[in-house]
Amino acid sequence: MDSEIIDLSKEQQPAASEKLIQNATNLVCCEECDVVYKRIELKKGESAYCLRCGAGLYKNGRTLEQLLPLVVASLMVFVISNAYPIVQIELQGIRSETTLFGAVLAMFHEGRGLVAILVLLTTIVFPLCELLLLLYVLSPVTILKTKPAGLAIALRIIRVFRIWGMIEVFLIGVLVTLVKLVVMVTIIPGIALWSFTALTVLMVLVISVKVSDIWDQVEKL
Amino acid sequence: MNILKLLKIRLLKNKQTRIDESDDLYPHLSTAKDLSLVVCHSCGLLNPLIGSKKTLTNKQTCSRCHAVLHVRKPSSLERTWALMLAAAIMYIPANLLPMTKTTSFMGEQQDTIMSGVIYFWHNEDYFVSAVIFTASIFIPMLKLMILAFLLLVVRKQSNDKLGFRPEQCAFLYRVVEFVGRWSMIDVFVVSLLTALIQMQALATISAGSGAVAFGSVVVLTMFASLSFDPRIIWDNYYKTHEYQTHTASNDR
Repeated sequence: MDSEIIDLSKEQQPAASEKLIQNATNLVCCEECDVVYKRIELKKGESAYCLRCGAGLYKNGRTLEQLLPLVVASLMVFVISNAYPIVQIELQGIRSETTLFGAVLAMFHEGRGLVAILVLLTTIVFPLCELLLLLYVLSPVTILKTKPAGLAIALRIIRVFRIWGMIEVFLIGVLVTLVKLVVMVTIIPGIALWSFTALTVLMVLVISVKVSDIWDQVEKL
Repeated sequence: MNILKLLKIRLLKNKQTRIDESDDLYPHLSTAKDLSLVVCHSCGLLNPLIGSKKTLTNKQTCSRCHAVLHVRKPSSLERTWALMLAAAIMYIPANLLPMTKTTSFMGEQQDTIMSGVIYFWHNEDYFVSAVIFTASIFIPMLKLMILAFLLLVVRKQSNDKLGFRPEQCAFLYRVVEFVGRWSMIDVFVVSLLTALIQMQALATISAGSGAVAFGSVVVLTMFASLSFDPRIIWDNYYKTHEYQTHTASNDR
């Protein structure tokens, strides 16, 4: 998806004398270099970038109405991904398989509790909580047009969990494991391998909407 | 894609202005700090700054999401130094201690990250070898080096002799942020191998103590890049740049 690069020009800068307090929502600030711009209306699919450092500022991308079905789909695929084994291997008649949670448990049994917790948090807890919180925020906002209780806290948690959710990294980890094993054992891909691939694609689409973009859309209610 | 596209445009722009030998390499754009505003790190809303300009004495919170506001990330450089050094120390055991312990009918074998890379290289599995090398050795090293470089540049920015443009630093910071999570690959691989290869008579794989050290490197470097405030790069650049032009005009 290629979007137009819109540089907010110097004229878009607010004058220091302007009464900024009343219309702070009409301004946008670059999170990486602190430059302030006046917001301009973007066409569908366009993104605004910082003139000085080139960081993304805001965009007119997916609406919350489009985001909600993606979140619901992600949750369903997430359940499938965790319910079925990722991969089954066979070596001289002996079979072995594992789910994602099975991998976490294996690490616990090995006495590597810290690593087990790290895997558990980054692949199960954080992505799941993020999706559930998004569902909690988006369904009242899009369907009932009301703000749910604890909206601010929910969105703040989503922002933090998003940094630490690593579904896409896990998928590459699975692929590397398979390539490592392919010369030694027979590999039978499980349902969860395919659903993890689908989940990764869905999560990328969900994450493409920044938390600040969600805030800006919620504000318009 | 956009980042690359943008970077190209930026670099060209720089060169042009460089040829012009203009004093002001970058248009001076007013920052939130100049306008007595502070941006919320959590929701992106600009809040008017109450009280003194430089520091937020009372804990002011964002009017939209109630997160505590900071003009700049609190003690950003100190925290980044500490976390970066801790990660650098943990990088040593992560590479020396075994990641996996394989027990099979052929005996017991302990593998570090590097021995795994070499093993796959010898077996002509260049792809796996390259992926493991990139994710587990190159990326953590790159992250540590870029963070150390940024911390030093920010400190040394007072003399412009180094010649690193702030936007090049900003780009490096973006690389660290983007690349950080991918070194988790090896942690996932080890836990999957441990779970899968549990065939009593034939072979078992168990996670070695290197996995713990490696996991901590990933987490520590991620925290380090999160605590680094890229706005300081620009602050320091302008602080020294304005100072230099000021003294130059005084000399004339």
